[in-house]
Amino acid sequence: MNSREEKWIRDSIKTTELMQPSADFTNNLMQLIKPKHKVETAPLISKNAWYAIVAFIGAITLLVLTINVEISYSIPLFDMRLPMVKISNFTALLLTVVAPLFFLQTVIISKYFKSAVNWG
Amino acid sequence: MPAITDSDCIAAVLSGNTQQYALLVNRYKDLIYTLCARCLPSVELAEEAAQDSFLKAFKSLSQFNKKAKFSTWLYRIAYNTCMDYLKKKAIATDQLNYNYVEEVGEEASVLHKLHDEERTEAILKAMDRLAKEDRFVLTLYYYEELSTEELAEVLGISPNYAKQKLFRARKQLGQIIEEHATELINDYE
Repeated sequence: MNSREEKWIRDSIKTTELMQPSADFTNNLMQLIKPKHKVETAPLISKNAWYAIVAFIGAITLLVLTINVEISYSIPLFDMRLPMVKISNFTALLLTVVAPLFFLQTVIISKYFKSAVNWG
Repeated sequence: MPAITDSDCIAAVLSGNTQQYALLVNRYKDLIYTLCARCLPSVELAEEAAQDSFLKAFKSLSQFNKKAKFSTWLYRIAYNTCMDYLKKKAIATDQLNYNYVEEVGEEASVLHKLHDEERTEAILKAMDRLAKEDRFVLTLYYYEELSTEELAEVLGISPNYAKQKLFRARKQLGQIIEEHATELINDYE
């Protein structure tokens, strides 16, 4: 190949316009490399809180099972004496377990709605 | 305002600002796509390979030697990607080339009335008759004016071997041109 041909080839290639990929080439590529946003939300009840709840319920259960509970109600004003209401261990157990769970539920719900308001 | 260099972009991307990679993509996409298109049998495949090349470069950007030239590194990735595609797809490219050679033969007379556009067409057609790897090499050599050492880096071979490869490719292109576009060259000032 002589220098004339070499020059012709060089100039021809140099003046050849580069081909262009599709218009959304960069966008498509950037979509692929965009870091995946992982929404991390903190749990409403932490692990430690769960341990405390379990320990509390366990302690109450143990307490109820080991002692007998007798509760009597009277209305002094009228000096009326209602028949003594006896609460069985089972009922006491239910009350002691359900009551804290009920309060816990209200706390969780209020916390949830507060955070929902913050997001909004 | 000073232009943002490749190194600045790379540093920004590595520090977490991945959006800066778009600058690098926009800077090199045309050339990378052209290189892929010269190697691969279809524009769809070329686009896929170009995208793959940029993705690979992004994923291994942390391994990029900052002293090296980003473009050369990117060309190497594109070259390897194209070679992988050719191996994988193993499309009946030889058949395509064969048909094309016949077509070029028929169109030889058309090459006589060339001007600028036709010159471009002629050189592209001539290059199409070369081996795919040679098209890649010649585009980098003539268009990007890469040195033999840089070409060797892109191809992952020794500079001597790159020199031989380049010599053979240029010789072959010269022969094709002589055969089909002698008048063009004679008319060329």
